[in-house]
Amino acid sequence: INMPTIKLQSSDEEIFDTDIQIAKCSGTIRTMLEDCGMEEDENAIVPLPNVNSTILRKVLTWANYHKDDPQPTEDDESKEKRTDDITSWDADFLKVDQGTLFELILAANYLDIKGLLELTCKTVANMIKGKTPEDIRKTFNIKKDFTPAEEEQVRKENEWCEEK
Amino acid sequence: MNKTENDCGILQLDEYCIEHILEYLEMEDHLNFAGTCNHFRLVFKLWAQRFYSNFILIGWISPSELKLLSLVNENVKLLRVDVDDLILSLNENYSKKRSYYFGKFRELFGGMQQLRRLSVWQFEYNNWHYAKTIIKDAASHQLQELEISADREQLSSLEKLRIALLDTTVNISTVYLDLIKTCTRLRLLSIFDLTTRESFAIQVSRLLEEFEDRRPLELFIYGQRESTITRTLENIDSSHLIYSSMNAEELIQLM
Repeated sequence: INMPTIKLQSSDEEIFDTDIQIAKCSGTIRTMLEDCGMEEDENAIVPLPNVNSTILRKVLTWANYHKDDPQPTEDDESKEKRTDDITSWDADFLKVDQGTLFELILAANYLDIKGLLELTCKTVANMIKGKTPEDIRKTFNIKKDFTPAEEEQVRKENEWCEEK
Repeated sequence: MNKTENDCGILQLDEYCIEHILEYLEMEDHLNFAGTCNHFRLVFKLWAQRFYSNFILIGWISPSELKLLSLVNENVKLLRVDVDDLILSLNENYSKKRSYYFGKFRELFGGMQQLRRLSVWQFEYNNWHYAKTIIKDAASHQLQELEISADREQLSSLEKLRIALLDTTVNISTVYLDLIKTCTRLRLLSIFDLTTRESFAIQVSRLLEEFEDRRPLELFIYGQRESTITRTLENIDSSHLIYSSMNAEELIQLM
């Protein structure tokens, strides 16, 4: 049987013919389809002005692989937040440059895809873990831009850890 | 992972996404994250308003925990502190500079503008004056709840006790009587309590008849509603109890 499909349009106007079931892993798309009655109309185009085609392709690859995953429940929310439970497929999937990783976070947030947002945020958390502020700045190419008043505040805070 | 090939960097993430990342990090990482740049510091502080609004200093207290407190103190709404643990940890962490760091802790405590609930636990005899300092400092906060857990033994060393109770619905004179029984060295008890009646002084006087060694006790009661009729009640033996009371009106005239 042919799965019903839907057309998704990226910010650079590429059209992606997508199984409705896969598209619906996005809360944003699900709401649009249900609220606007677009499900019945095979030619309807869902515009996604905040996601470019490179990122949308990645997102759909991820959604396709995870289409049979159970929906996260309320209980999962309160669970301890682990970062060492990333599967090898997901880890391979995220072997991308930092720019792509951050764009995936923004897309997962905009499209409301919980699983992908969790995965990408976990990955960034793992890049921060155990690093000094200086290492974090180096990793993400960030400038230290504290005002003199903040510098003084930071110095006072650090004083707690300077003895011994 | 390579550095960015396209322009999107971590600073392009909005606060919501960064807060999501913070949820996967632990205290030490939170501190390091907040120490990187202005933006991260602000986002962390905003998030900490929710995540670190309850602060519990119990057990071994690491320097990092105290550093964290120095970052989030303005937003702490509930503080639970075991003074014995605090002093032990300050000793271990800073040995000779303990007093200096206790002073720094007091500064942090003073800066907790949002503090509404405070629990102070303290059982070691030698630490009682630290606990007293914290409780005294707490007077500058707009507390809704104050809980003090201390050993009865320590209360027994109190010589002066001043109590201000603003609740006008409950009469706790039995608690005061119990305190007088417990605090064997008590020589002065000053109570600001709108519900205390003259009869309370008589009860205290009777109680003191049983305890010869703790007489006389000076008792001041402020804030009674009715004008005081008798300054020295007939039933009170002044060698037991030196009693004065003042109603609200008289109190104001004094000011």
